Amino acid sequence: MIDSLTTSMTSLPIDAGDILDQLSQGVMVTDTNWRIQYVNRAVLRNVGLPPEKILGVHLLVLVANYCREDSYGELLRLAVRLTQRPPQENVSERVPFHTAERRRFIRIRVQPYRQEPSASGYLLLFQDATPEGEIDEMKNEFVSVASHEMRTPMTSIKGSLELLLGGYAGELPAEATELLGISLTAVDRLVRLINDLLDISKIESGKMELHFDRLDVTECIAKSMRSLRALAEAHKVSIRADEGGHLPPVLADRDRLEQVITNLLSNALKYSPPDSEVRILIRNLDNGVRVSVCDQGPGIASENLEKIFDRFFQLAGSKKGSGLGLTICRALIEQHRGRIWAESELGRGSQFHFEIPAAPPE
Amino acid sequence: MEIHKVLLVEDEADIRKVAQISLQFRGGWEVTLAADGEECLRMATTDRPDLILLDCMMPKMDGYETCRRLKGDSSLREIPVIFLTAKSQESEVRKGLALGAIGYLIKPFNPMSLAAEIREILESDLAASSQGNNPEE
Repeated sequence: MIDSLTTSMTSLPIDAGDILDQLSQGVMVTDTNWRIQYVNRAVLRNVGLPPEKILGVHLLVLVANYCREDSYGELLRLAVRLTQRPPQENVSERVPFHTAERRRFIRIRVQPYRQEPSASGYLLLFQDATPEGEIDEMKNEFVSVASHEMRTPMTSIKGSLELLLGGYAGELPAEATELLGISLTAVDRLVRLINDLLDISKIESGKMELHFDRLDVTECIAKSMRSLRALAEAHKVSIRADEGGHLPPVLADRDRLEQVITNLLSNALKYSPPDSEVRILIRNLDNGVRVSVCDQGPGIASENLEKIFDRFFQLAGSKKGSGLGLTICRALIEQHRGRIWAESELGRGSQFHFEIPAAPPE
Repeated sequence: MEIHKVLLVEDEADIRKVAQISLQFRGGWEVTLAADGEECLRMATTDRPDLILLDCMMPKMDGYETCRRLKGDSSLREIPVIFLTAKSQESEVRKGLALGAIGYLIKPFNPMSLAAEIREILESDLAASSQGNNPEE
């Protein structure tokens, strides 16, 4: 059966390479070590290099040595990022790819391929996704403007409720206090939702600007822990941070790194059973830092470990949220040239890890 | 330094009202109001405050430009300025501190603790400047 299939393939009247060269999509094949084995003409045209400078070269080396910031390099860098996620059948992401002549969007698809018995590697497809990209741009613009407009009235509602609850209008009947308390909790939730929507629209439109400084990860962790003290107490969960010895400084955006840690930590707290402990492990990797947040909650089924990073994905019975927190975390960590992933077993808690590179020596 | 009068500069009327109540109720301060940068400069001259709370994002003249002008005026330079800014603008406001503001507060602020946060900024500024006056060898 297989033999006859192979025969029918090889007996195509034209060379498969010719067909691939006529595609407008870029096609690239690498081995499992990301050494480039094949590129079609569309890729060659975009990278602007002769085949001998590409074939056999590691994808990262190609990006580092040959690709300027404004060229195909950004795309290939994204491809490399996609490959650093846990192996899956099919990963794809769309990115803006604007040149001086044209605004375009490209979707990169990375999928493993197997060719038994021995050879295997990855197939990378670069497809034009301009129409869907443009529609998404309009959506992002709308979300961004709408959220901005909602934030101001929200601020005055929240402030007014806090003043009333704080005794500005004198002592209130217990019923009023209870209702105002409900309103304040709801407003706080709305503010978080709006902030998440704003973040995701910035991320998706490539307008998220990070301000990198050399900093100590433990400072960010300490600040997140302080800001979540009340939540931890409400859930009767304790937080313990263990530093793994000397840590190198990292190059990071302080606010955004704190945001990631706070998000992971508050998830861990919300899913922890009472009287349990959330542990934060900080480890010195040779060239970076790894932070792990470990809880004793219900755990996550293996088929969902990647999906939880998707936009709007929510686990059955999950705590109410925007469904965007982890999506934002992943985007932020990847903008730090790091990676983030989850490990878990049902009934045995979850561990969320992220790694970001160390700052270069001063 | 003793605070008696605070000039609050904020373009959104509702937020201005909430902040005003908060400063009066929790700080016990007299509060004067300005809705934009130009009005702030005018008010600072005619009804001199002990402290200016300055929103960063305002139409016409933004908070940074207003601060630059306050600090460029020898008669207004000494009035301490604190920025009010959205969380998403936090990195930007840190750069704005170079203009001579003594600190910043994040919106949405909690009106019950706003005055306490202002006192904290004033105290740490006082500590920093008294250290600066006694240079260590």
